[in-house]
This record gives sequence, structure tokens and C-alpha cells, in this order.
Amino acid sequence: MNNITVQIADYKVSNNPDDVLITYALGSCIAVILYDPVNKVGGMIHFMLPLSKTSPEKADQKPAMFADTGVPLLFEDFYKAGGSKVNMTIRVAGGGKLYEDNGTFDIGKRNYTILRKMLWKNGYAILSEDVGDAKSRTAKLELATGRVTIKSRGSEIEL
Amino acid sequence: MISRDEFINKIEALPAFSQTSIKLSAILRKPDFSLSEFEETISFDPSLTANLLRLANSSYFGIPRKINTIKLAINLLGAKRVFEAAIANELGRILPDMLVGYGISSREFWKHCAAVAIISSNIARIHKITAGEMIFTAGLLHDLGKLVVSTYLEQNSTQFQDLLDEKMTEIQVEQKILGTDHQEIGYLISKKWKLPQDICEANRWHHNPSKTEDPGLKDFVGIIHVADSLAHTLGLGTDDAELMRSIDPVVTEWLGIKTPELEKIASESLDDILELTEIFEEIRR
Ligand SMILES: [Fe+2]
Ligand SMILES: [Fe+2]
Repeated sequence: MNNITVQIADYKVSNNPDDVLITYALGSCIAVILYDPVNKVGGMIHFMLPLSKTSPEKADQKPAMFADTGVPLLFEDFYKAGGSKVNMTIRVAGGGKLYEDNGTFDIGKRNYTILRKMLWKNGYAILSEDVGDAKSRTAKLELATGRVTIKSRGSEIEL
Repeated sequence: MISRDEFINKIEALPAFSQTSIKLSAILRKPDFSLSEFEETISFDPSLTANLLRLANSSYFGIPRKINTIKLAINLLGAKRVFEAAIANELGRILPDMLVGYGISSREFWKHCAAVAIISSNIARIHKITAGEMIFTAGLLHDLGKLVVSTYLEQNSTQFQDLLDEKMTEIQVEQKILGTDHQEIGYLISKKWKLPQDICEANRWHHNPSKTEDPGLKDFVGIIHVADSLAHTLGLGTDDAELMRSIDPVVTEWLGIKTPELEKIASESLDDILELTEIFEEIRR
């Protein structure tokens, strides 16, 4: 097995069944996890913020920092690597928040809202998700099996 | 519950904070600041000198030419940034490998401190907080108390996790188990190390800045609070408990900070945070 870390504001796609895509410490950030079980293609993004208009300059350098510039690239590369839309599943994790954030700090909710809108507009449905709450998560996708696990404070769930 | 004396003993047993960096902070704040005195003070400390030169050449500072003397480092980076590198070096040096009680590695803890340092300097710059010259340093050092408190949470880890599950905040949980929290202990540590007053106050009230007594330091501690909260929101070095926190409601009002500004600051701080995180390996080498 070959662990590939997806850094914050980055994405990775693979069609190697030995690979495991993994991303750590998703606070308000969101991981979108794509998988095609027939062709064994997977992809994962760890985006930080909803909209690239926040900083167009940063969006040029690091498009995966934002949902609106990063998520389309993830899908594009997923198809290029041999993933097909018919078989594809979409899972979502993250979008966490502080316990009492007085609204100002709820970037996670904004991330999630924008993501849902984007997916819905393009006719994509989310298969399963683990979002919200005062939780920091680690997300993992095994290319060989398509198994997705989410870990938070010692407990692990399958998505 | 752990007695006060036991905490004090634990604080006494911490590795000493380098007197050079404390001296440097005093020199920086002198009205008749002298570059040569600053440079001389560093050169009396050969291990700090060697480390500073390594750091000055790292990609975080992004200077294309080779820096081989402290004088050149001060010329190219300025005394303030050289001082900040000295503090960063000091913090990186004294961290234990793991803060077991908080379920976080020293590298992740370091990343969190780096994030708070960079985000708070960016907020201070945007809001033109003039007393903000020590803010980067205060950001780096705001969670000193965790170095001591971690051990005790480790000994009470089941209770610690249970109370978090019951939706108590990190500070409430620490108070319940230990009768104190990492703010108070951090304050005692920073006092013992004779750190500047604004850094002591940031340790003391970064979860509740409206309790800061000195009105001149409210903005300062408020910014650390906002930066700390934003860093954790984004998952930059978040430990087991830090998301269980409350925003001090008056702070965002004082500073007039809204969500779009937080997002802009986050986007513009990330690269520096990741690069400063990389320095950790240099320091621990
Ligand atoms: Fe703290
Ligand atoms: Fe903190």
C-alpha cells in the first residue's frame, strides 16, 4: 500500500490500486472523494474556502484552495484518469465548526452550501457524507476497494 | 485535583527559555534601539547564531542570496524578523515530541503556533494596530500552558475525552479536571521566563480576551483570540479539544471583523503558514 497525502488546498487523482489517498485535519475545510469501482479510479480534494473571488491571485496559484475553482479540476482529472461518470460515487467529509462560533467563523457551512449548489447544478448526487459539528477529521480512500473511512478523535467510521 | 505547588514545580522543570531571545525583545523595544547591540547579543550565543543562519536561508524567508552572517541577515530581513526567527527557534527547541494529553504531535502543535503567529500579524497589519510589534511572537507563544497541562490530561485521558463528548469546552474541561487551565499556566510560564507583558497577557486571556484588564492590550489579545479561532476552524494544527471553544462575542465587534475578511486572511496566510511549518525540521535537526 502506498499512502498519498492530499495537502490542504490541493487534490490528487489515482488509478493505481495500490494507492491510498489520505487527508488530515479537515476542520472547516471539505474533502470531496470520488470513486469509480469498475475502473478503480479515485480522487480527493481538500479545499479550504468556498469562492475564488476572495483572492483571484491565490486561485491562480492554487486553484484547489477554493471550491469553485478546485472541484471542477478534480472531476476533470478524474475523468482523464479513466473514471466514468456512470459508475462514479461522490462522498463528502469535513465542514466542521467551532462549538460556539457566533456565526462569524462558520466557514465550514459556507463551504458545504457552495459545494452542494455546484454539485446539484451539474446533476451530481452525494452518496454519503460526514459533515459539520465541532470535529476535525481525517479522510482516507483505498483505491483497491473503494473503502472510505473518516477518523475523528480516535473513532473511525466507514462512509 | 492537582495542587498549585505541583504545577509550579512542573513549570520550574521546563527547559529554560533562552535569555538571549528575551534580551533581544528588550533591545528591540528600547527607544534608542541600537542595531549593533542587537547584533552583538546574538553573536554571544553561538548555537543561536548557527540556527538563525540556517533559518534565514530557508524558503520561508525567501531571500535568493546566501546569508552567512547575522549582520547580513539583519540587513536583509530586518531586526524584527531576525528576532521572530530567534523566538521560533526557541519554541521549536523546547517542544516535547508529542503532546499526548491533547492528542497532537509537536509538529502539528508547531503548525498551529505558526498559523496563529502569521494570521495575527496579518490582522494587526490590516487593522493598523500600532502596538502590534510583538504580535507574531505572541502568536507563536500563546499556548505555552499546554506544554505543562498536557501531562495531566494524559493522566486523566478518559475523563478528558468523556467531558469533551458531553460538549464542554476545552477550557471548561481543563478547569473541571485540574482546577486551572492552559491559559493560567501559560501565564505563569511566560512570567517565569520574563517574557514581555503583552505576551503574558495573550497567554492569560486568548480564549476570553474581554477579560484582559489592561485596556491598552485588549486589541492585542483580541487579535490573538481571532487568529487562534481561525487557525483551529481551518484545521491548522488542531488538537483533540480546540474546536470545543467559544468566540468571545465582543471581539468581532471591537475589531469589526466579518466572515469575508476572515476568508481573505485565510487565503493570504496559508502559503506562509505552510512554509513556516517546514522550518520545524530545520530547528529540530
Ligand atoms: Fe489555547
Ligand atoms: Fe491555540
